Amino acid sequence: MEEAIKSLLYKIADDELIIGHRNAEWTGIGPILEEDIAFSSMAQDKIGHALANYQILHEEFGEADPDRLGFGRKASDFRCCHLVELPTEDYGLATIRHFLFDHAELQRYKMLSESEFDTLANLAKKIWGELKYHVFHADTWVTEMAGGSEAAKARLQTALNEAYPLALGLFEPDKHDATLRKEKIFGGEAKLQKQWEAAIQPVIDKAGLKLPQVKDPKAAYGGRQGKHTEHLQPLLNEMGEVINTDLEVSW
Amino acid sequence: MAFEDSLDPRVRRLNVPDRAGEEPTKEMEYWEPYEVFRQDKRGGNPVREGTVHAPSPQMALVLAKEQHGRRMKVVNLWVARARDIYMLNPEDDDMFALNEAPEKAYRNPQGFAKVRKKIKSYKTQDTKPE
Repeated sequence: MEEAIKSLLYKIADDELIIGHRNAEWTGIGPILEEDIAFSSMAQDKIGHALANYQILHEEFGEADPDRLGFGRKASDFRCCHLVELPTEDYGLATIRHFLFDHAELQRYKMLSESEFDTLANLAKKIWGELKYHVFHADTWVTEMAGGSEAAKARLQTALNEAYPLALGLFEPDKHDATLRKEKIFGGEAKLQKQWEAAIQPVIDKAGLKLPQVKDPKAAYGGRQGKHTEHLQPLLNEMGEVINTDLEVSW
Repeated sequence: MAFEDSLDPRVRRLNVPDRAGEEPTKEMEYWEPYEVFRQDKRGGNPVREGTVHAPSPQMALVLAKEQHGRRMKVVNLWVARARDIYMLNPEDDDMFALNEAPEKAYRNPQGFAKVRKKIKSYKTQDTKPE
């Protein structure tokens, strides 16, 4: 049971930490000033959500302190999915990834708000407003971009074709799902995926986009077992560049 | 150079191909300024906060939330296209009487403040007018 909750906390936190850092890479070069500020601010929120989960791991389960968990582990210790590891050079791709991820995050915390594990239920309630805004932001951008020129829509569709198969890795089945379901801690990845599909479909339709057919939905699995894309380790090296010069120093 | 291997878009953007040949933006496709008003309590008066640029009212709200709703208490934001807000010529401020004619100060509603108290004090005076 403890193992099951820890596994849940790690995958939530690692996803949020990594996507937070990836999205923060757009700080200073967003498409316009106001969006730069909004996207950076949400990236910061994500890192804050990661911190909250690492804190639970540290305080209630005796894991290392949050800085160590965030910056002192190697790629194979991380439980994030491949979607969040992807570097984005195209703002359309960054936006689509933000859309796919944040809808899943919102649905996950919605399920967790009813969790028997009070700490997580309280966290879900605390950050609910932020999550709502993130999804509102994502939906608005996806429909605005797709409603622009044909070229813009085509680029967004290309981005969706690339990101959607990776997003299925968010819902990689977990050996702890049954335990978590039984203890009413979390309803499981399969249920989450269904709710996510129901949440994104109307926006995809409104934007006039199409979800691609995915031949092998398991192709993006592995992240939850510590098997990652080539992009994760270089990112971790960069993230930990300063702190790892002296792990014992007091900040 | 080590930079060339970076996956960071800040670095990679140095190599973005130039956009020549792409369709130029048509008139009215430009984003517009929206004025943003902030309410600090439900039912409270919205106070002008600043501007954002946006292609639609919804996007104006999305961007205004981070731009103008992050640093202080806010319960709601209002947005309106700047070009939908009309005003008089600022040079015409002499049309407003109180700016130019101090003898019309009686129009200032301040003069009607505490009327009830004044009436009461008048009624209880020992010497009433004939």
